Amino acid sequence: MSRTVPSIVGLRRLVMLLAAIGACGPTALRTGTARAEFPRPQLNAIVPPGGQRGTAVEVTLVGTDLDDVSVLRFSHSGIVARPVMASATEFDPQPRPVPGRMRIEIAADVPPGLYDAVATGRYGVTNPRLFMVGTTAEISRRTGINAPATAADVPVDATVSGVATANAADHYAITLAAGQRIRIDIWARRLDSRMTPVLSVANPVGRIVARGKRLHGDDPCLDFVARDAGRHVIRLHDMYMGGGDDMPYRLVISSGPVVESVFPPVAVAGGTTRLAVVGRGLPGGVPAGDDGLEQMAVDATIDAAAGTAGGRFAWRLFSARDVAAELVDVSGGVLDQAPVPPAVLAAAGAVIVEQEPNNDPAQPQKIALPSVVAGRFHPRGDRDWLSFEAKAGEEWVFDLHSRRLGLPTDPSLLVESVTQSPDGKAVTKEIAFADDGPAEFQGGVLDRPSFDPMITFKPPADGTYRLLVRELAADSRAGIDRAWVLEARRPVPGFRLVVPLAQPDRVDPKKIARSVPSLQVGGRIAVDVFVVRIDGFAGDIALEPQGLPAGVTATPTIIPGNANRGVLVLTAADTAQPFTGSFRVFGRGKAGDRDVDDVARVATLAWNVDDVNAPTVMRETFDIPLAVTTDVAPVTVSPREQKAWETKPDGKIEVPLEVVRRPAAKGPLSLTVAGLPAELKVAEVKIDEKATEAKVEIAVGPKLPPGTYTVLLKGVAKLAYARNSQAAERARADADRIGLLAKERTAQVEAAKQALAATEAKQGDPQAAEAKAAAVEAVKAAEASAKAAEAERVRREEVAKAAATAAATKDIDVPVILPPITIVVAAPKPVEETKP
Amino acid sequence: MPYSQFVREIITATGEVGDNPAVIWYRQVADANQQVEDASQLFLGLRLQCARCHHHPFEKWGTEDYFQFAAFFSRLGRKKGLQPGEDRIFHNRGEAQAAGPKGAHKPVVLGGTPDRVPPDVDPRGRLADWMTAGDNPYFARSLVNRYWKHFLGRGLVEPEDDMRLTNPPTNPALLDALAKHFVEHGYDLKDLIRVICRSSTYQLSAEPNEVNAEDRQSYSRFYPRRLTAEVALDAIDQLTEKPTQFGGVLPGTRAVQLPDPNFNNYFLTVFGRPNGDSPCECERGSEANLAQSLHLINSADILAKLGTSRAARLAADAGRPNAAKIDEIYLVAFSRPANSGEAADIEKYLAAHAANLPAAWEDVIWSVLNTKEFLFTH
Repeated sequence: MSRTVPSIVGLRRLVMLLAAIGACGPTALRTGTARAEFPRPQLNAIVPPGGQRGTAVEVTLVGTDLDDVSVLRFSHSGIVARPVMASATEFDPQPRPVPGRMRIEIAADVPPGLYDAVATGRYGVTNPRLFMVGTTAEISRRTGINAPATAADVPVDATVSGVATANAADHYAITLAAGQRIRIDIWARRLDSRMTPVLSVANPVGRIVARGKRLHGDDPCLDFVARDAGRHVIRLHDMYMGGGDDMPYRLVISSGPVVESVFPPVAVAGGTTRLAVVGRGLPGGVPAGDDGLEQMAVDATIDAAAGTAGGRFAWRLFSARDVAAELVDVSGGVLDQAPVPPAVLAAAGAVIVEQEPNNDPAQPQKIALPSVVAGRFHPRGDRDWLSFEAKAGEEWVFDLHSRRLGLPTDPSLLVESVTQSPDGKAVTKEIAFADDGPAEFQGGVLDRPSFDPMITFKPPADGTYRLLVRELAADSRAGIDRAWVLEARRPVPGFRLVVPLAQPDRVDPKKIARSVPSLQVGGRIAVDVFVVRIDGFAGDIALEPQGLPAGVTATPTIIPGNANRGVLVLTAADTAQPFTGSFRVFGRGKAGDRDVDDVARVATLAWNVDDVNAPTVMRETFDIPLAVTTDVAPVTVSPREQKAWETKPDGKIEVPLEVVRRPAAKGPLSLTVAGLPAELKVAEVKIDEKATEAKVEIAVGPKLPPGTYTVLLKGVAKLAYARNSQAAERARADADRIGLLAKERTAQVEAAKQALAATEAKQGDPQAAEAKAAAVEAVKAAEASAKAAEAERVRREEVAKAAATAAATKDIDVPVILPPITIVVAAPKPVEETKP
Repeated sequence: MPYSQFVREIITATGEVGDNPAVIWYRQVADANQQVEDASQLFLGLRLQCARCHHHPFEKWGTEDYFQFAAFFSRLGRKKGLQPGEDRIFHNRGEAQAAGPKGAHKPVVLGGTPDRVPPDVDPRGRLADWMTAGDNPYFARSLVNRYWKHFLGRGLVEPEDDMRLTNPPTNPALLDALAKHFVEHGYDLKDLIRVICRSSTYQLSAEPNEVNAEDRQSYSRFYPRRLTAEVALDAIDQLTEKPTQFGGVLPGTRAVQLPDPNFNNYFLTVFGRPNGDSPCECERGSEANLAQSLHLINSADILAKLGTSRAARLAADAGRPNAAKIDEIYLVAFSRPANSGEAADIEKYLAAHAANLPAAWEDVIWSVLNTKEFLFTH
């Protein structure tokens, strides 16, 4: 009977507790790189994580290696940030930027929603962080609100930005009339915060009368109706009692209508469609479903293309396919009051809505192929049966969307044939069942199969078939906001590209780290590109970056038809200038005679994964940030010739390499390659300290199937590196300048004292007493001024010493990446028989 | 939530813990046999473990019954969940059947007749339907018996999770009447508590007399029992005004509110807090032992609670007579004022230690929390 299953909840609590302890502390700018490598700036939080449109807000950037951040770039041009400048002082007559502080101006016409921001500093560009633009008044959390008695009074229809405190709860008081209905919505996980919020409301006598429900991932919300009039207290804390500046939150209290979702969640892009809005407190809404939800019709405008704002950027991605849905924002009527614009799937044609009752397999809803059908996993225990006619020789794809609409669902699809027995009874036979999508990216980021199923269906005979759409947890959980969209269509081979801004750690692949392209001068980076192949597309895909700055080039790359991932290698020339911005990656291929192309979607990792117990939280972002820094790569190794190297089975290739070593590069270098087929062997390339050239020997085994192969050589070079030597120089110059000032002021004291002595020499002069008094005051003032300068000199010396220590040269590891070497293995010629 | 709904949520749970916390039971109990045995023991008061291998000649349930019951859990699917280490529970469509020693068994409820479950229907739903039907002979009886034991100290069937033909209730009419009331009142647990606690049986004194001193099973008097670990700690915290701080939960969280047993606390361990490793009520220790006495008398934890808390407050409060302060302590500890003898003794003690009143009040509270009257439900 003994069971010793460890409590994951308990373990998780411990992990979070340790993480919270580690994360506590007010330091906004920390040095993050644990290993000796080039610093990699990480943006962990923007505090506060949002602001009201038409206003400006000052924020603190929380993260590591954020030295000299001067740029905070948003995904909307109407949001502009500038460094906060400290006022001129006695010792710094020129205003200076306050480290880690930015002033964000939000234009009045920026639509409410979620926007990504990336910061650029001394070491390049950071990972993106979400910033929320709202419409209501903003309030900052004040301190001392850890007890109900000291709750901060806040109005209804306001947004409070705060940061969770470890081992404590925040309390906010709202005064409500009896029967007043409000909505309390916490935004934390959806804003990349580490907080797992827990929300409750106490009535005027202090009894907890409502608790938040986790409707949006881990973020709770509450539809609250006050039974009694009076002061109610909202309590908010992290589930694991963590706190610290990587746990920001936004508490949105509203009395207006709340939009939860729209139905059907699919529409033809670029038009106007009547949609049912599901929500709470909707003007003219009628009760629908459970849990106080209402529904009303709205003539919605469907965007023509994916927008720049939207809730989908807060959705957690589980698979690369989750990014592949074509979603567009919708607006109009009450939808415009949603905190983020709802999104719908862009439909290829008219949308059919499921007609209940269709739970009985004997009474399915009839549809004709092709179709786009939308339905709901509602009520509990729901089964949705559809029937259709199909002919032998046809090919159909049934692609079910639900998780890709941002819903917490786990849908499945079943196809059965329906025939009649000789006695007239219906005979059914299972043809195909699909639960999850293919497991296509094993090991690494986004390696989970999609939750949404897809079936390619080739009818075995002319006849009637039926289809079951079922959510696997529908017997426990259902709701009118849990929707599905079935695309029943002919196969259209194509692909989607996904660039994850994360990579397994170079040394410990169990760890996953945020990886945003920052190039050193003369350096290279590898950008992973995943290919989601659709409807059997097996063609080559040429990768084409767009928007690279001058001096940054990409090696022409083709992802062969048998591969589902590739690497785009970017190189910064020795002449490359500092840059911050973004770029995009296009993929171009051919399906038969048809051109197929796609721009890569981008997925970002919310937090580095250092522990197997930590979830890998990926979400979509807007573009691929890119920076060129002022650091210099120690070694650049390149093939002398950029071409496809042709060989045949059992062949050998030697690729000559050019080695450029720069000052401060140290020691020998070895290059290796991983992940090649066993029949393709690449000898380790050893390059000694003085070498300017090398070669790589590639041996092709006799059984290697003909085709295109890519060899990506990597190594690690040593570099004697001084971290932010400019900061050390600035601090030294500052200390010297203040040192001179202190000397000057000491001299002024001496001069004042001499002047005083001179007045004392003129005893008897009627004006002498007055002059002496003035001279005494001058000495006092000079002494005070000199004392202040001396104190400042001592402080600046300490700063300069600390900066010099931080900038002390030490050896660091710098990854060396070669552009991919393409090998084309030709089919062996048939052996001709020789006649005697 | 009615108890029937609560059990249905657990038995039929699908999804993942973040979306549906009821799946936690399936996460912790992954073995199919364990699911059968735990479900029957917890919710029906039946121990089916023995029937897995043999049919005892005096008992009702045999191996066929066991595996027919097991077939209800046979389509339970699990796949990797979204959180690390979490499973996602789902109905794995298909024919429900469990392999027993004599072949495959279709799902049949205990004492029932076979009923075909289509492949797209989760058989656990059928099991929950049967369990929570008003005429189920085990479900309501098992629960009311547990509650009766909770309040009266002894089940009408004892042990409470071993209800079988050869272990009949001491008062079958009472058990049936309670179960009928429970079903008729919509499986309302609060209502059941009201019914039990309003009974004259529950309200009898624990003081034995010459007639009932020997009684151990007819409820002719109340059977005193020690407070459970969590309740005892909370009571001490309340008496001393020094709450125990548990790590990783909101400050002020009481021991009875802790979400699971993974909070290290010596007091709770030594007073018999169960580990939650099995469905058996016997996991909770109810005995009184020397370690508990020593902990209450002389441990650093308890001594720390006595200082700088209620004792210090009472010592510093010069505005109230001692009698009122003594009554305050007695009302919190015993729900009654001190009688004249007790009050006089304490007054005398305080007067003798007037030089160090905080320590004197600590001594008073220490004495109170070490009494049987405080530590026992009576």
